[in-house]
Amino acid sequence: MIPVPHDAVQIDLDGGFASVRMNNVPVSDAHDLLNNLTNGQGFPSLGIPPIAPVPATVSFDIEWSGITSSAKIVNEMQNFRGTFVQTGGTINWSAIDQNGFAFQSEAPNPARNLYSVIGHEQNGAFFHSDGND
Amino acid sequence: MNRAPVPPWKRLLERKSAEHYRRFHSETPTFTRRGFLSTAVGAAGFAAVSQLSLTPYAVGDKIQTAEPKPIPGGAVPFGIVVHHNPLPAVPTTPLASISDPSEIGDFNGLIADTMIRGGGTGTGVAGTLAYRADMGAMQGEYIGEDGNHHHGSFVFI
Repeated sequence: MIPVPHDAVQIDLDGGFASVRMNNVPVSDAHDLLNNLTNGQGFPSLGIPPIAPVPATVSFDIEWSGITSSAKIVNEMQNFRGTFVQTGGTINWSAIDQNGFAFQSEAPNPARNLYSVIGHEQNGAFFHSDGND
Repeated sequence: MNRAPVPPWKRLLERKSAEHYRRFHSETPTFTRRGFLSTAVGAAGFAAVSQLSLTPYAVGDKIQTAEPKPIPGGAVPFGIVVHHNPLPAVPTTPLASISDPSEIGDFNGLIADTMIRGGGTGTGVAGTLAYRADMGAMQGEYIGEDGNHHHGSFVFI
């Protein structure tokens, strides 16, 4: 998770629309899930060798639109509450590593969406607040 | 409003910053691998795997923001706690059953979260590379590691 400029994130809960657009975000490519989780130490018991991460950058344009369902959630076990809408979603994503390997996702395709959500929530110390921010 | 005491969470951005500079700005770099994506041949063709850790965007762009705290708990893949709750991979899962989609604890604001899969192309790779993106954003008020209230925008990849 990284702090980003305010205008990189646009969220309109009532309209069921959101977008996140960023270019050339520096990241560390950890190669695989387990090396990411272990900071490059691998996971020998599963046969995953240690692999050092490499610098890379990613660019992405994500859009949420088209409300398909809505719900008010109060989850006392996880200490969060809020109003949420499920929407469609698309992404355009690209990356390049320090050695010039590049990846470009296919054109944004709504059929590729598995699950997308927009919400206004309160958790932790705000769980019992009125939600006005 | 009641203000809860700040739990002793690890300092997320500080840790990520230190990790980044240890890895990429050391005088004795140790990187030997080329890969950004690794590929594996499966029944459906190539599958791409890329696991990305975020570097401190704020360092380069001078975004001034206080460090947030992670949500307590989250997913536990392979016994390792990750302060993130992935969205369901099945679109028909009832919305009311999702776990907290925010990565920030003590948070009051807007979230956008998505789980998308797809295909793409990679340098030197014939055929389609598959990917899945679990990404989102948070924008609003939070109580930072410093115990004070702040406003900010955050993205997770």
